Amino acid sequence: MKVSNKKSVMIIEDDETLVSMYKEKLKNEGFRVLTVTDSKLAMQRVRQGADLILLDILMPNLNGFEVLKRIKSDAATKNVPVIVLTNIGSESIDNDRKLAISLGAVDYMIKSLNTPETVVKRIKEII
Amino acid sequence: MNNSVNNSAKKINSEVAANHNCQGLLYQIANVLLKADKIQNVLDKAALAAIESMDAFTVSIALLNEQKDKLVIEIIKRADGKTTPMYVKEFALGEGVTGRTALTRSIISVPDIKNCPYFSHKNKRNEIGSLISAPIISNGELIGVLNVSYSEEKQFSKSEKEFLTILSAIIASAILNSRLLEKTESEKELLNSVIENINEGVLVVDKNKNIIVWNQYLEDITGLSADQVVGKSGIELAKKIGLKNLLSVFIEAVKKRRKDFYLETKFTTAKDELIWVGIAISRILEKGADGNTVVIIRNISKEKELINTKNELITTATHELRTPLTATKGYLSMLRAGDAGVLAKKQGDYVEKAYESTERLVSLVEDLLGALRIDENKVNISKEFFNLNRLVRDAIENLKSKSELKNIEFSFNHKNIISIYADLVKTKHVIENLIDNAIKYTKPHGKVEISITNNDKETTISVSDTGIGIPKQHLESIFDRFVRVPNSLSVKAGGTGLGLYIAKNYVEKQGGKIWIESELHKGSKFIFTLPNK
Repeated sequence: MKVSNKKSVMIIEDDETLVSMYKEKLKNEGFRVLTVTDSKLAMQRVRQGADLILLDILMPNLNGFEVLKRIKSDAATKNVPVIVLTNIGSESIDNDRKLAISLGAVDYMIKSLNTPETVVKRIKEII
Repeated sequence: MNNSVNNSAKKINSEVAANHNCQGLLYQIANVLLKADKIQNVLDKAALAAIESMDAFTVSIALLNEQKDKLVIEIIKRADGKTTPMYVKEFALGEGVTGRTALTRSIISVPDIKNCPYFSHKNKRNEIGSLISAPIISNGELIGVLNVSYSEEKQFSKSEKEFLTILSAIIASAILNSRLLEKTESEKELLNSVIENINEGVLVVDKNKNIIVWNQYLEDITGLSADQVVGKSGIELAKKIGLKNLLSVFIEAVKKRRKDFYLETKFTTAKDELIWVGIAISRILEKGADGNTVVIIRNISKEKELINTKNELITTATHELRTPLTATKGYLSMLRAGDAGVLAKKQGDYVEKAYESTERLVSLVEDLLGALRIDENKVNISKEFFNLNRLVRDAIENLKSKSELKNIEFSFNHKNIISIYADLVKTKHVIENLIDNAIKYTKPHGKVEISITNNDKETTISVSDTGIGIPKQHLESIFDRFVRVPNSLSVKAGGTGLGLYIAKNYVEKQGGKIWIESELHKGSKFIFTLPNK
């Protein structure tokens, strides 16, 4: 049961600095923010409910694509829109985008080429 | 009277007969001696020939030394087969009969040794009665001296002297032949030792692609000996040892009539070691050796490792830069947008400048990594259909803000909506790079025009500006790495010089072409095409 009318965004990202940055911006824009820094806990938290997920691809312990697959195959979570985040320099950026979209992500954004604003702008377009 | 005429006639007849015999004999001797052989064998045969043809007691041959000041006796032969001890082995020019013959370069005959004041073999005086000595000359150069001696005193006839002259000429040629052979042999040996001992593979195939040279290094890394491969087909061998890509590259080069080419490939040695080899192939197009191909194979594993280490270093460094870069850019943009409160004008200005610098940092790092991936051949093309018009419009939107200060006018020319089948990310990168450059190098109040057209073969995109233009001499190299055209604006505009290098790679990897038209002070136009398929 939703407590407020605010939309909630879940950030699955292992870097603390970036997590707090996106969280800051999202809160400023009126979103509720849930964060997961350990991707192993991601599935648990996602099942608790979110309106949109920001998913980082390059994470230790669990591959972001793996998480995406799980989210999209779990009945409770498969309808939650996922924006995949990555950064410049990851090896196969070209293939990553296609893969992300084919696995059901709604968009694929490169962190360093965007700003928290452009990310939030996109989120607002989706939810 | 008649008797004397008869006697003269007989004498002449026998002389003529003797002449014929001599010619035949000399011909035979020439045949034997002129076959190229080692010098010792030649001297041996020559001495024997002299003993037999001149019915001599002993024959010796002395050769002029390298410094050309002494004659050294190299061989003595006796008709009775006994060995003669050599008491005096060397003669200075002018010393003894040998030395004098050499000095005067003419035949010296000593019919009576006993009374010869300059004969130097003290002991031989007992055995030898007479001696005739002839210079061995070839091409006007003195090579040595031929000494023919007899046990009795003897007068030497004119015909004997003529015979000796011709014989020594034949011996001269024979010695020359032999020396040439030796020289060739030693050069061949030198070359061979180089090929066998160098630390690189040397392979030569003839015009039928059969192997004619296979050196020790190749034996070591393939486990196949020269005996096993020489004469066999090089093509079959390449297939067998796993160098198929070498073959296809080679065949392509032959088709394109290229003379040299190079490729790098992995190879598993006979000892099961995986190495990187650099293979340099040169087709020999010289007369005589035309049709042969030389292949040099070098172990470049160390170089590859070094490059890998360098690349890893750069990759790691830039990866580490990502997060602080993203965070800096992110917080600056939030500041700029007023998320932390309204900013005073100056605060806003400072933040704006910091933000722009951060954006430049991001594109620098992106360029570095892009160039790195090109180097490592890790650039993948994934094509899809997308709306080119929208891509261009978005690019203009994104970059417009950069140009606002300069008041640049943008125009986008298109006749219709073009749906293009290409790599979205890379094409976007190229277009943004070109527009960015156009903005950088255009003076305030200038114009940047982007046009797109297509035909059934390809799509053409052009970005032109009314900027400072590029001097003719730099047009060729502008797409090279790290090239930035020297001018006042480029110093301000900054950049790594990698943008166009990457753009060219991204265009060509998609099967397209990119080029520039430019006029100094008027402007530049960058044009690139992408194939429709």
